[in-house]
Amino acid sequence: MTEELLNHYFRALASKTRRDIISLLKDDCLCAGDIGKYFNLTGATISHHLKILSESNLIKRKKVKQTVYYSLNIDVWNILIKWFCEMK
Amino acid sequence: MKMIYLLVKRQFSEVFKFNKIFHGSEKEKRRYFLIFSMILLGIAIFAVYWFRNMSQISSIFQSSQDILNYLIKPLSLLSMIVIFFSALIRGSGILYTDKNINVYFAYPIQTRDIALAKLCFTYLWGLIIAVILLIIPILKYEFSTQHPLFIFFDLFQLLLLPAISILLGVILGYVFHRQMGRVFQSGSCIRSLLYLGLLFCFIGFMFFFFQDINFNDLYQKWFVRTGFLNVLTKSTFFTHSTEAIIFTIILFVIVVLLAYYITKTYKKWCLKTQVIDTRKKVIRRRYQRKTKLCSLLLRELYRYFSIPVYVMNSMLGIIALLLFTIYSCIETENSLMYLELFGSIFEVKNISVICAFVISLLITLTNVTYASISIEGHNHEILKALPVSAKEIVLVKYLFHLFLTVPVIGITTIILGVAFEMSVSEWVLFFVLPTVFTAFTGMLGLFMNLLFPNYEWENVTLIVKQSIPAIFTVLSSLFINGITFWAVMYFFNNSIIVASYVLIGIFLFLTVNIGISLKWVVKNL
Repeated sequence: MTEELLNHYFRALASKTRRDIISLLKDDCLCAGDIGKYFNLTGATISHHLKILSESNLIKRKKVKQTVYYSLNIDVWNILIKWFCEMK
Repeated sequence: MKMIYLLVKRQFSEVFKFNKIFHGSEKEKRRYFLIFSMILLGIAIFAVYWFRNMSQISSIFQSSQDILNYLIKPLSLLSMIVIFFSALIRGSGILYTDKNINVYFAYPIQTRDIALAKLCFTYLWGLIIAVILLIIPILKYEFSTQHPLFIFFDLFQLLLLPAISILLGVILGYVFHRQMGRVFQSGSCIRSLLYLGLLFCFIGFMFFFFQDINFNDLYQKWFVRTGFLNVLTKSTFFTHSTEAIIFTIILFVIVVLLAYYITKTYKKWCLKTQVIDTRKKVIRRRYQRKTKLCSLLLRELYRYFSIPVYVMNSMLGIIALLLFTIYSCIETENSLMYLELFGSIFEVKNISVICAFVISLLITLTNVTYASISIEGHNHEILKALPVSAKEIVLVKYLFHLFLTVPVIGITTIILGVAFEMSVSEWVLFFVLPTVFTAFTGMLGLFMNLLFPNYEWENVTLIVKQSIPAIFTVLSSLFINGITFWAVMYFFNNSIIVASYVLIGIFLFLTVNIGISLKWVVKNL
């Protein structure tokens, strides 16, 4: 894993709201509207955080008809866990 | 000098319409007095706000060097850029595209005086910008440096700062106008289309790329690392050094030389500009046998695209709609996410209905009917003499509005319908709802324009941007549509498709009713 990728992941994780979104997606696939309900934030702010998380590949999205579902990208999380284990 | 003063005064009266206050009719006097009072009040409020904030910002800095580096230098650069572009667009126009210039040349006035008067007028405009931006930081700087002798020198530099930008802007503006004149010789329709293309590119850039620009990086790379800011302002302006004095003298000489060059070439350049503008007016048209309706529709089409201000003012909705469609095709998932987040505020699950509402609001911005009657101007008397009834003229103007908007809605429906995988009922709603709304706003604009027509306009901007029908139609249509959509989403979120079809029925009924009531106001044509 390159330093650049690590920077990318940790920059995406350096926000409480984004970490909360990841906690929400831990067990379930949710659409943007459902994610927005858990936060007292505007739609624009939620979409900004979702965009950063998607671009960093920490979460992935799947389009089903007119709904986009978000879920954790397990592959990337496995790589991150592996990196943490190496650091121990 | 007296002649220059008189010419500058005349220029002020011409641009700001002061003559209307002093010598107009009672109605005009009252109207212009009200407008000027409102403008002055606005300027006073802005000035208090601006100077108070500038004073607060200036007091944050501890040393005079900090004020110079972090406030005066960037603001000097900003004012130079703003003044340069102002002179490029407006200044060169004041100098070289004055319609009354032949009258000036016919008077026993020296060309040098005419050119200098126009330059002075343009310079005063630039000086106002420079003073607004710089006067407070400079005064703070002078008080903190405690060099009272330099205050006059710095104020002289402040006077010199806009001069160089104005002169360069005016010369380049003329060159630009001349080169563009060659491109636009084939007619003003192409000019409108080019402006439209530029507007499309600009909004497209703001829509797709502006958010990705890192201005901090840009500033660091271009201004700090390359030292551009320092090269331009270090040891030059307001530094109280020997270099500053030498630089100011050199700059003063350049200003004098440029002003001399402009006065010497002024008459020649004015005549060249007139030749270019005369060539632009030549429009080639084919004369073929056509039906009455078709001929009137083509007349509307030619006239619409030959008035760039009209096109630019009314095409915003179509451009926004096309960009939204392109964005939704490229970034379907992002687009759906935005719509879904918007829908979640009202707990609406059906994305295609929200999208149809968005499209209806966007297409409302394109309305040509609010000025289509007034645009006839003095020609409306000639129009009455033609074998065409008032009903046909009004019908054609309305059809032209639909001709512009409905095909765009159709294209958007097809593309977004595929991108968002819509069902048939959604697809129908997606096309019919914006179409009904554009029909309603078009009819509203036509009604307002027939109710308050203005055939006595001097400048087309007056009826396109500042007339009662223009302001009322745009604001009321946005307000009515916005409130209606909000009410439907708020109260009928569980049965939104049915509610939307009912809404179509209501607006269709309203459109037909306004159409019927047109016969009461059509006598104004």
